[in-house]
Amino acid sequence: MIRLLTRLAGIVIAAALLFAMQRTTPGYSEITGPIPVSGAMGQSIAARGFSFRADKLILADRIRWRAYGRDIERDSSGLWAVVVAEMEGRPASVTANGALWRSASGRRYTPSQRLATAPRQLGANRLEPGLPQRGLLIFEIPREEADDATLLVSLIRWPRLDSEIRMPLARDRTESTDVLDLDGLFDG
Amino acid sequence: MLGFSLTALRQTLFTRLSAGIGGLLALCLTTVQTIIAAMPPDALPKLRPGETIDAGRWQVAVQSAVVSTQPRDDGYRPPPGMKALAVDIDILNRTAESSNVFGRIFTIDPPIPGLKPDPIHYLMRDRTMLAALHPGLPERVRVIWTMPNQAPIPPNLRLTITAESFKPRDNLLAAPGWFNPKVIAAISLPLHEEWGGGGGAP
Amino acid sequence: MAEPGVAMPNPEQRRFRRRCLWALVLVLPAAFALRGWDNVLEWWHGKDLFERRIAIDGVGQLGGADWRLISLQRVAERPDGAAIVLAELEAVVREPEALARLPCRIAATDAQGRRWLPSFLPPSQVSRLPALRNRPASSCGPAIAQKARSGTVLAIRESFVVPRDAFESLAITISLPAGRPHYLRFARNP
Repeated sequence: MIRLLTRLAGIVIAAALLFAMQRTTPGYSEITGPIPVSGAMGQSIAARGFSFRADKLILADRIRWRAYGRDIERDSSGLWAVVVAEMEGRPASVTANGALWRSASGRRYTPSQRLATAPRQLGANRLEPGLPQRGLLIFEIPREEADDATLLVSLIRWPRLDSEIRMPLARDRTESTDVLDLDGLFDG
Repeated sequence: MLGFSLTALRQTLFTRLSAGIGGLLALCLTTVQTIIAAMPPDALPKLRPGETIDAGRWQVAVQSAVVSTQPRDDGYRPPPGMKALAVDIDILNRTAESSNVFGRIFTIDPPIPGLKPDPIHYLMRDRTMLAALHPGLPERVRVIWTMPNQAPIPPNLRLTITAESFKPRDNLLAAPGWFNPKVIAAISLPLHEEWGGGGGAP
Repeated sequence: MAEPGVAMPNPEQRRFRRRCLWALVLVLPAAFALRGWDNVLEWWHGKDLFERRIAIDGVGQLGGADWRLISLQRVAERPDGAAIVLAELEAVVREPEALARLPCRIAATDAQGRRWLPSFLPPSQVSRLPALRNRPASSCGPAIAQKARSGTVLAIRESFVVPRDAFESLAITISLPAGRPHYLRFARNP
C-alpha cells in the first residue's frame, strides 16, 4: 500500500515538475531576442552598432511641413508623437530602421509611413560614424496610448541577439501642441 | 502451474488492450475529422453593409462597392482600358502591432471574370496608398481591384471575409502570431456604376 | 535499485558500459566537430581576420587580382562637417573565376577604428569633378562581376562620406570572398 502511494506521489511530483519546466522554459524567440539597453532621455546611449540620444517628445494633433513647394498637413484620429533625437553609426556605417513606440498597454507602433516627404526623418538615411544625425521619429498613436510609453530603438524591427535601446519617455521632456511645424523644429 | 499461466494471460491481455485502446482512439479521432471535413460547410453568417465584424487581426465594416472608369476624387486613375472596382471599408487593427497584411481579408466569391487579383488599398484620410495600420486607430480605406473595360459586371458583389486566430506561442519559435486563416462571414453588395461609368460593354 | 527478477549485469557487461561512457569523451567532441565543420568554414571565409598592410602606393594581391590604390582624395565638403572622399582603385585580373565572386567589401577606416561603407554619389556630382570626367569607372561589385579576362585592368571608384577630421588618417580596406580571411589595407603609414 505504502509502496503504491510513494509511487503515485513520485509520478505526481514528476508531472508537476515537468509541467513547471514546460511553462517556464523561455521560447526560442525569447532566448534569441533583443538584448535590452536601458537609458533615459537626454543621455547619449551606446548600443551595438549605433548611439542614440532623445532630447524631447512633442505630442501634436496635426503636423505640417513643406515639400516640393506645397504645404502638407496631416491629421490623425489619434495623436502625432514626434521624438526629436540624434543618432550616429558606431563604429561602422549603418542603417537603423527599428524604432518602435511601445505604449503602457504593450502595443507596439512603427513610425508612421504617412509622411514620406516630411523632412529629417531618422531611418531614411544611412548613419555614418562621426557624423551624428539630428532628426525625428514620428509615430501615430491613439490618444490613450500617449502616457508612460517606452521608445525602443534598434537597427531592425525584429532584432535578434542584438541591442535594443529601451527608453522610458519622461513627462518633463514632453511638450504638447495643436499644430506642429516640422520645418520649424530645426530652424536656428 | 495453472495460476502462473492465468497471470501471464492476464498480463498479455492487459498490454494488448492498452496498446489497442490508444490505436482505437486515434482511429476514432481521424474518422471524426474526416467526416467533419467531408460535411458541407456551415452557412456563413451574412453581414449587412456597414455592419462591424471582428475578423482576427482586423475589425472591419464593409460600406459600399462601386465600379468606375473615370479618375476619381481620391486621385486614383485606372490604367488605360481598365475599370476599377472599389470597395469602401472601415478598418481597425485589433492586434498589438502595426501591420500591413490587410491584403488577405477579402475574397471575391464567386469570382468576377477578368478581375485582377491583389487589390490596391487607399487611405481615404490622405488620398494616398495605405502603408500600414496601427493598433487602435480606425481608418476609412478604399480597396480597389482592376478589370478590363469590356468585362461584364454582375449586379451583385459577394465578398467573403477571412480571419486568422491568435496563438500566444507558435509551434516553431514559440513566438506569438496569427495563424489558421478561416472564412468567417460573407457580405453581398449591390454594384453601382458611377462617375459616368458608361465604359462597360454595350 | 534493481527490481527483483531483473538480473544484475555481469562484470563483462559492466566493463562494456564503462567503456561506452568513456567513449563519449571522444565521440561527443568528434560529433560537434563534424556537425559544425561547415559553420566553422563559413565563419573562416566570412571574417576579415588577417590584415595585409600595403603602402598607400603599393600593390597587394587578393582574391585573384593585383590591387592598387590610385588616389584617395577629398573632393567636396558639406556644411555639416562632412567631407566626401573618393577612392580610385585599379585591379589587374589574375584569376577571373575567383575574382568574380560577390560581394566585394570596400571600406574606409580611420585610426580610431571607425569604418565607413561606400556611399552612392550622384553622377551629377561626379561629373562636376574635372579630374574624373574622362575616366570611366564603376563601383567594385559590378566591376568584378563582369568576369573580365586575365590581365584586364579594372578601374574601380568608391565614394565615402566621412567627418573632415578623419581624412588625414583614412585607410582603405578591401575584402573579397576568395581572399578571406585575409584582407588588404592601404594605409599612408603602414
